Amino acid sequence: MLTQIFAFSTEENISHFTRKLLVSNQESKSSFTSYRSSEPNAIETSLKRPRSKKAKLFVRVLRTMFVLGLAITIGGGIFGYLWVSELGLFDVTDDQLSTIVNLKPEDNSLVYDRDGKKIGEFFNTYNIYIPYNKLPKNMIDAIIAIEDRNFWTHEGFDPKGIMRAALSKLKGDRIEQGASTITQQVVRHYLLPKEKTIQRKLKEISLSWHLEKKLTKEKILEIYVNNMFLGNGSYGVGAASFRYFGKPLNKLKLNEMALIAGLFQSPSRYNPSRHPKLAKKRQTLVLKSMYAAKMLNFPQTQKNIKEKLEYKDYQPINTTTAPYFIDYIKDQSQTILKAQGKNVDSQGLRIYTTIDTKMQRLAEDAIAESKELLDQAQSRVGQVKDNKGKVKQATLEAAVLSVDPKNGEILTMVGGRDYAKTKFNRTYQAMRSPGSAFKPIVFGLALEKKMKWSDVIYVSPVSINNYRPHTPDEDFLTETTMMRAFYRSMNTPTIEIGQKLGLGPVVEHAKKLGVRSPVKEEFGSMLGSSDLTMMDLARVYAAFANEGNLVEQISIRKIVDRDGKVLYKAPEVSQRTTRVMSPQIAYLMTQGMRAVLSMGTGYTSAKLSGIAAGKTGTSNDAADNWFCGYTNNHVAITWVGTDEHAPIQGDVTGGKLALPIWDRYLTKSFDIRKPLGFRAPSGLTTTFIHPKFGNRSPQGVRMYFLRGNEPEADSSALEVLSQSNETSYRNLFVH
Amino acid sequence: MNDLNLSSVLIKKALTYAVTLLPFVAACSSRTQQSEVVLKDTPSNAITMEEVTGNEVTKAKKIRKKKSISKKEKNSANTAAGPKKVRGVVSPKAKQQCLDLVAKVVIPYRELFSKLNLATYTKDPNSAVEQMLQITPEACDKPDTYRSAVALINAGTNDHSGRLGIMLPLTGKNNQLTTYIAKGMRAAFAESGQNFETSTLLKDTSASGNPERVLAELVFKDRVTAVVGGFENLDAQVLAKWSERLMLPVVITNHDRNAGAASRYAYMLYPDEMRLAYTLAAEAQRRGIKRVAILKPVNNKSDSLVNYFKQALLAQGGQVSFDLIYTSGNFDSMQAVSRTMFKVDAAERVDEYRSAYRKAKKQAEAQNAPFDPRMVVLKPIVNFDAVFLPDDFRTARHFAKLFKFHQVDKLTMMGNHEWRSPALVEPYDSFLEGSFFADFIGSYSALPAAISAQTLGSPFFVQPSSVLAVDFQLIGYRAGKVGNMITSDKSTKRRTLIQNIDNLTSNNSSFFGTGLVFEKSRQSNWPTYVFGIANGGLALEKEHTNLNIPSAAPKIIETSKIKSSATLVLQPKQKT
Repeated sequence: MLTQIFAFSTEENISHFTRKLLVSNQESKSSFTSYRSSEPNAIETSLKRPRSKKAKLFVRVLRTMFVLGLAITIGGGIFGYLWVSELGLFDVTDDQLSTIVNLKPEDNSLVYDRDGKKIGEFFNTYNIYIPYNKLPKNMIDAIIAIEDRNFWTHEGFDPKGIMRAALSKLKGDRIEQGASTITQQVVRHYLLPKEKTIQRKLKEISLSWHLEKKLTKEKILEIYVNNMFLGNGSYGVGAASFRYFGKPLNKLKLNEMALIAGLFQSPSRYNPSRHPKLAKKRQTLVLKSMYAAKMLNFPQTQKNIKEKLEYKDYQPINTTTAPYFIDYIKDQSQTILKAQGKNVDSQGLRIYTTIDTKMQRLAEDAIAESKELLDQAQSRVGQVKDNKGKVKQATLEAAVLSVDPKNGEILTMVGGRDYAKTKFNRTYQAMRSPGSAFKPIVFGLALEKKMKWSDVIYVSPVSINNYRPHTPDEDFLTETTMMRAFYRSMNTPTIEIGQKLGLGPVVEHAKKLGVRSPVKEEFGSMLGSSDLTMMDLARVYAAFANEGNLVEQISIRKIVDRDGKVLYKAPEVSQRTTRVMSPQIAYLMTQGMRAVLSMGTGYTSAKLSGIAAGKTGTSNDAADNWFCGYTNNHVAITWVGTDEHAPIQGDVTGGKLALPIWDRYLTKSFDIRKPLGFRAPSGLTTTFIHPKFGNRSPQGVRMYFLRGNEPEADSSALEVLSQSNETSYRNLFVH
Repeated sequence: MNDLNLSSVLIKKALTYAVTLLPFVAACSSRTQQSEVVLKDTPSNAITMEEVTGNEVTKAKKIRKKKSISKKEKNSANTAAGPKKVRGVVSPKAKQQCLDLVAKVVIPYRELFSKLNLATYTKDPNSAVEQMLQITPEACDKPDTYRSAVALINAGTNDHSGRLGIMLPLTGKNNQLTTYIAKGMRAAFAESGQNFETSTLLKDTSASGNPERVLAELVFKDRVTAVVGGFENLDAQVLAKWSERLMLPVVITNHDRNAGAASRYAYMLYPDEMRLAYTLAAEAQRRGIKRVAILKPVNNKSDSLVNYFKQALLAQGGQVSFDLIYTSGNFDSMQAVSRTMFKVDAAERVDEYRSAYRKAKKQAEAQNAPFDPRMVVLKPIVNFDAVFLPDDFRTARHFAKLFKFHQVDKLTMMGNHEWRSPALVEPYDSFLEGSFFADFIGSYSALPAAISAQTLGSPFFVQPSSVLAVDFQLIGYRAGKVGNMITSDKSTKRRTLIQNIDNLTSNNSSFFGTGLVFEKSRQSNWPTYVFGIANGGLALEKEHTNLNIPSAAPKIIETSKIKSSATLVLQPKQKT
């Protein structure tokens, strides 16, 4: 056996050696085990390179045959030349090679978070392009060793290889080794049909020869290693590295690179997930080839053959970190690039986004940790009919969207509870009724129009143009200040304020504050009956948080192509900023929304009222439950409901369903985005006001006013009346 | 005393004496034939039987007179020369008169005296009134004692110190209000340059718990000229009763305009609901309002006002379209009376309602919105000209909104003084445009200087927390002015002071109005003012000082049986 092993020195011999080795070890459990145990010195012995007599004899015979055939060849030369010329094999033009020469190899477009960490990729074919200078040397060596050991010396084709293949053909053997150089494989991959004919082979040789004149060896190799299909949907070694080992190429160990190098010949046959043993054999062969090519020494080879391969199941990155956001980014980048006539898939783009993956995790956790709450609510979700009229149980969903109000950057985007179940992104694809979460728009405009928080409103049912809002819990025939009506989210006062302001101005104000969805010009809109997106609400609340400045939201900071050229760069913050209200009005609204937390419908999160503000929202039958809130540097919108708009029975509100999620998320986010509190602008004054009657009262609640617009009365007739047990005002006749 | 025309008072004083004297002189003339003693001992302001006993006594006297005439005729028959003037002999008639005087004057004084706590009372043998108490019926038997008795009675009933007694419940449940009244009185005295402390005797009726004892002290111990008080009903009853019996002038500050009706010596000084009602009726007539729906709060606070208003309205040919009672602050109750008033629930509209109900329900289902039956309302039927709502401004505002909810575009609303509040027009509700109310106070900027009231941007409003203080200070101020006038003339005998009061006039139109301070019915001639709601605020539209108010007590009109079923069954909403 040792004699046999010594007889081999060529690739064929190595292959043959391995075959023999495999046969000899069929009885043992593992060929590699047998190397280690039964014949520990076999590899060492086999890998020595004595000159083979048989080989010398073979060469001699070949030479003899060549001489004998020379006459035939010369004789047929003219005929052959004419035949080849007739086939056009030598008429290779630049155009024919241009596909390769000008090849823009496919490359995944990669998505990065705000810290530069890869979080997603877009591709038609999974391809991670790695330029030659970034290719690990071991990777290059392994490929060359197994695929084309003479690559650096031949001129596109390898006559020895051709002859070897021809002989194999003549002998009737299966052409396993093949005669194709890497260059030929490239030519064949891009320019030639798949069938195996002499004409095609000749054409291949011709084109390869010409290609070598056009491109450097390195470039040809770069094309080769990056574009060949390597199984598991991957194209190129960079992609295969991720698909098989879950890490970038430069992190691969030699034995892993050897496995990938072995895949070029037959990715499916040597796919380790399907045929692990064959894959291992192939890897061993690659390593041996490297040894044979003096690329490795013996210990290295031995060590790498022995080392266990640790595969990793393919985990699509798009679904691991921020799946809904990745979808959104694809939409956004496509929109951006479409304007430039470009596509996003497999273009090797580098998309730098705004998402904060740590906060994204917090948002996802906040929903996950609210499972018990959501499950309880789920039990009260009403049934709905599907498109076919079949009754089904709607599923309770939740979503979180957060942005940085200062620069408009989207920080987190959780479009649903489980991306695997539903990819519908509720943060921007769902149009939902915001309910009372719309009210800050109405009250904000009211404050702009010189109404003030202390203004008294008589709470009675209202009827406007036959519109009578359903307000079951409204305490009719009471009085309230505007601020109390706001933080207790009272409907009829809102309608009346809206009536004073006018429908048109309110709708316009909504647009001004960033609502892109159409708002119906009807009084129901004042109470949030017009459907909006979470993005709409995020813009509105960000304007309040950012002292009246609306910064256009962005999710992509820049897009760079594979050459480093910047295709898109988000406009600077100053270019995206519009003042939509005065800082004073924004601050007044913030104070109102702080009161929502401290003593209003968001009271369960009163602990946050010192540094945060927000508003609850509940649409009819609690089909939508919102909490939209913010600190000075962070806006978070939370929503809970069903995609089918199913009613939720019982005492369900935004304050009870959405607020706990918001609270969990925001509280934990403080470690990452520490709030600094709200800064009062100049031009304001503050005093304590009776929350129902609007007069100054030391026992009242703190309210802010535009300087000069503060209430003067120290007492209120309503207060006097209430103190008289409401029996009589100026009770001249009742003692 | 700027506003009281003293000169005219003094001029009339002489006339008053003469008038007072005339019946006495006449009586004496008739008695001349019987007794010279009477004639000789009767001073110019001598007491008369009619004064003492009033009409009923006069009737009895007439009967007795007839009897005495019969006796006289008998005597005449016996003595052909007619009755002789017998010195040292009291005629039977004179004796009877004397006895009547003792019975009607001395006995009441003695009765009141018995209310005193004698343990703390120091008797004064020189006091005329105490001397009067010593008179016994036997004194009428002999001429010398007879003369003394009559003289003592005259002296005792007219004896006064020139100080004003004030009886107020300063420590009871209404202590705050009475404190304001006292403050107003102080202001009036101070304005006149009088020392309140030395000019008055302020007594707390709550502390003693016995207003009669307080009055007795004022009369016997302090020998007050007049008394102001009666804020509480018991006090008012005591004052009314004893003022008549003691011939003591009293000024009663009670909201019941009839509290002092029984006493010729009692004057009512308080904002008068009847005047207010007639003012409103007059204003309604001026505006062409004939058919009025009346909404009355269930707590009875406006019952009198409503009755007076109905009387006035009917008297001028008006009509009460609805007379409904509601519970203030109760949505269902107020909603129910609104529905009744606008005939939303009328039997003949059942089909219309059903149709609207079905339509609203369908609409809600189509919009996937909840259906609320309370929101189903029919177009209102308004077949009256105005709504009279004698309740506070808050209720007025809520009703205005309810009316709007019922799709009533415009409806004049009428109110009372309880509407007077900045909260009525702030924030402004245009539905109230054209509505009006009446009050007892005009512009606050025209208040007496002594009454401090901080106005709120408008002369029609003061700080709500001080509105009661202003109201009651004004009552006190007015009472103080009258009291000051009464006590300032110490030379006038007490019994004749009522003539002064009757003729008391004012030329201060800004607050007291003009003319007599008291009507002939002894009701305070307190002016009323009409305010209209217009142009985003209030406007003082009219001052009413000379209303054609019947002097007789108004006939109480039974509340209509038209009552909201809701009012009858619903209880006020429990506050949570």
